[in-house]
Amino acid sequence: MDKKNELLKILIPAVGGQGGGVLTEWLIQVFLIEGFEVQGVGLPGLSQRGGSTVYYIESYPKVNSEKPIIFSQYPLPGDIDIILAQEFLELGRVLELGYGSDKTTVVSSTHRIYSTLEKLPITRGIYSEENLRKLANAFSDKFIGLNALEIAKQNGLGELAINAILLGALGASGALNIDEASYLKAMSQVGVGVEINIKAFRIGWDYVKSNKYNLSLIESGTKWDEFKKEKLEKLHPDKREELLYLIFEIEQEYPDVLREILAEALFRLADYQDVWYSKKYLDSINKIYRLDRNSEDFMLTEMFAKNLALWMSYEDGIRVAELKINPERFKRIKKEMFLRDNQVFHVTDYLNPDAEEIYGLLPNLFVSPIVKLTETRLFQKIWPRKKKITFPQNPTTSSFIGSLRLWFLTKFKRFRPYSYRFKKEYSLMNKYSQSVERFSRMDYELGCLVAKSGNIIKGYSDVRRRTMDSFNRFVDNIINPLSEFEKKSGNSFDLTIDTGEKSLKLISDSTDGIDKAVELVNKVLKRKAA
Amino acid sequence: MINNKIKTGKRLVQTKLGVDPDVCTGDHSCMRYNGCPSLTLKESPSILRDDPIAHIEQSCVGCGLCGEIAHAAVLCPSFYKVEIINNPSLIDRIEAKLNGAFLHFISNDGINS
Repeated sequence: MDKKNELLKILIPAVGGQGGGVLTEWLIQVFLIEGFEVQGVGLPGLSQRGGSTVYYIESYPKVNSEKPIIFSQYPLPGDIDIILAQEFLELGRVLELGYGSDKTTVVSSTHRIYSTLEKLPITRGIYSEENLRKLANAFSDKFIGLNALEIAKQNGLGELAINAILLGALGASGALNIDEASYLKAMSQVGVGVEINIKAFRIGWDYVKSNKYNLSLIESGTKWDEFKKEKLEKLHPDKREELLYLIFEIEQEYPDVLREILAEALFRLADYQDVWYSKKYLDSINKIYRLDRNSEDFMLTEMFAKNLALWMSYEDGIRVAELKINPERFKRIKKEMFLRDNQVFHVTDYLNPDAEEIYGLLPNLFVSPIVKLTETRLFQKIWPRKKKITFPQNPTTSSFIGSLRLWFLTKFKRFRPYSYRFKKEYSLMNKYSQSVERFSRMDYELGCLVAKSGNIIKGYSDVRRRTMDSFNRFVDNIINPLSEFEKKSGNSFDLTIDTGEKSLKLISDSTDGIDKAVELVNKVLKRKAA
Repeated sequence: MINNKIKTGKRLVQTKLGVDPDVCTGDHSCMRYNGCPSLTLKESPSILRDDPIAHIEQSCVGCGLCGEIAHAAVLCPSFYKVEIINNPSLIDRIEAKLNGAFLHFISNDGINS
């Protein structure tokens, strides 16, 4: 170690509950075995991401003097030799505070534990992993990142083995010039889960020594034919042949990049309703695809295809019932809970459809006039409805009495296209398709934005009504006025696209986002008109 | 400790909650109401969905709060509760066999519609 005569400073950030204390203890023992003076300090945090935990170790080779060495208890930004992070965002937090510098070696796990703020937005709100990597590479001399959680899982170890894996990675990295034997001795001395942790340590060590962390994970995508076969098997035998014709059509007409997405969509819709439904979907896609011929990655068609497929297979009572009693579901549950074949288990569902979910299944012809009636003022005076009408139930779907109710519901499938809910969703879906077409003709990127906005339609009952309303207002009160304004004033639609993106973010972040977005647009237009 | 109790041979019920990935639409309303660290995000198994969906990790202790909240606030039907019966009694086993047979029968028929 060319820093033999210098003070060695190690910072260990983690999320609470990851065994950071044990990791620190191991490192301290290693230094003691090697004949160093060492001090470790720990700041505990909360395991619900209320706070990070930080451990800090300082060590110095033993000197023969009468005065004892006094170590610092606080790490200094810019003056850390090793950062050993147990989770990627924690590394980001530590680097943000400036602890990384060009003399720092960073060994970190790249797995994530999501914070509550990341879980809230309706669209993706996860902090970009790419940013964290850039940060780690920029603020260190050497960065070793490995997904310790994945490694643990692949080797049949639990989450708590992550700290041992990271210790092995640190050992093999060469940042500390210490033999493997000292680490193993230290772990035995501390005595916490010795066998498993030594196994994990070796795995981490080998992983870094064999340079595996530098190889990009080449995802072996399932081949096209296997994909088709797998999907066809899950479909009802009557529908298989007809669907194959449609798949053949995709192979002929559409580029390879869109193949899988379109095939998945067709299977999904055929399973949801029928093959004629898939055909209808393909016709809509074709219209948009014709506008997309000249682009490289067909972003417009891709986004439209994904969102339309999800929307056309909206989850009504029939679909939920179908999914809940599917035997594949119970196989999946068994696998997830690591159950053996002979273990007995019960599955109870929490179902609470509201009034609209139930009468939405009935034919539009009867229901529509009744609904219109209930919305009139006269009706609301006669019967003011303060509380929502819902039908809560907790069927035990693994028993035959429980699943009977749901099975009965799936028999309504053939009436779905005539139902009230179908009419309602379809009219908004048409608006979506027409808007995408209209705005794509004006400007390609604007069209992509509108196509992307289809993904804010999510949820059940109130959530769905709210998101559908948000989408409606997004097109009418945000994109429409802005694009009209820009069409008159100039050739580019940059303002529309920019404000549109900001609006989508506002809508996704909070439940009243659409109001804020409309306000923003009004402000922008007022400013521009002035 | 649970393993010890199972070894004694007494009937023990373990509870865990779960979320159906094909029923969850990814609106995260459940997470807004509930701060449980086991209720987290996961990539959707369907390539059509770009945004993450809800998922309950193995660290779930089975308190059932997430399910109750989704139920009471009329959020969504994705939650389910699994009760694993360790050391099942004879009645448990017979019940399981009957249910299994019936489910197999109706699901094969159900595909026909």
